[in-house]
Amino acid sequence: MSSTVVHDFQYESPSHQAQTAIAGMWLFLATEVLFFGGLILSWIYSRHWNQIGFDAGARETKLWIGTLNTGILITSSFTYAAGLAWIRAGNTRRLIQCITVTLMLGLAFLALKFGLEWRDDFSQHLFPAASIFKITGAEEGGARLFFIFYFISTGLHGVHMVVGVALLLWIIRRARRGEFSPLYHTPVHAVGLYWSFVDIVWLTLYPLIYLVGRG
Amino acid sequence: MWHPIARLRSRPGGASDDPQDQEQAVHAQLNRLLRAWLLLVLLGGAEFAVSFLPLARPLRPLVMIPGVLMVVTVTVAFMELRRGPVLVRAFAVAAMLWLLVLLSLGSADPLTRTEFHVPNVQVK
Repeated sequence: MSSTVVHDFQYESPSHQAQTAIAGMWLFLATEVLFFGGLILSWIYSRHWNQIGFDAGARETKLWIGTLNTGILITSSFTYAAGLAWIRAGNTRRLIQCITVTLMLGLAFLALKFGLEWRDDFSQHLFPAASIFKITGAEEGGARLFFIFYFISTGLHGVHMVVGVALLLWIIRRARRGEFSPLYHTPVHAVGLYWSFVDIVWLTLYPLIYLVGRG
Repeated sequence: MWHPIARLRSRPGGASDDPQDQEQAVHAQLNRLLRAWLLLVLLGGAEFAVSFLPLARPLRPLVMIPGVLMVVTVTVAFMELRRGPVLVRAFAVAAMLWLLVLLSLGSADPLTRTEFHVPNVQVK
């Protein structure tokens, strides 16, 4: 572990470089807010004109999987933040442990979502572009729209999760090489921001998909 | 960049290099994170329970209120929004402002349009 931290020529100090990197990550996340904002707008618009069909679609979703996945993701954000706290105190071993737990939780989320839930959705004829669709009658059109939103939003979130998992593996690899210290751990911080943002996206999608249409 | 150990180091007396002090600082931060996690679990439970209330269809999106609080909790506790540089908060506020403009302007038409009943008559 290095006791000194170098910085690139355009920054006046290592701290300045770290602050710039973190601010850059926040700016990237601001663009991501608008990316997912368009999806939320499509939900508002489509549900407003198709409330009965949308709610019929929502009742076909697997509530227990969505709820379990919510618990998994908020726990993974907690374990990642704990890892960041440990590296700030110079404990690389704890950092690796915390991020490995975060990685396992992320993989569990992906397995439940795509290995179980999506597979069930396809087998129960809930794919909206299929000729045979489970929901028929007056609710069919709205329910198909709901499942278009469902597959696109959870698919895009899943892509972000896969990127997050790759970033976690990268952080673990660098941590094992002893590249992080209390003085330099900017990548750990930046990846943590991304991981928590992916959590936030799910916290928004969870009620839109599983909860609003019930009751 | 803010971090608890640096803050501890800046204390008069400089007790921060003591591993025991560092350990205490980490445990204090872990306690804060744990409290945030518990709050998230409670809010998630509240959101889940509220979703089973028999609300009218147009009012159903109100079940998202605990979810919004969960988003705020993650942003403040895990992403440390309050502790970063001012630029970070400026980006976060700008993102929320743009999102508000996108959602309010985008949903203005469906939420304000008056629907008139059209009688079912055949025109020859």
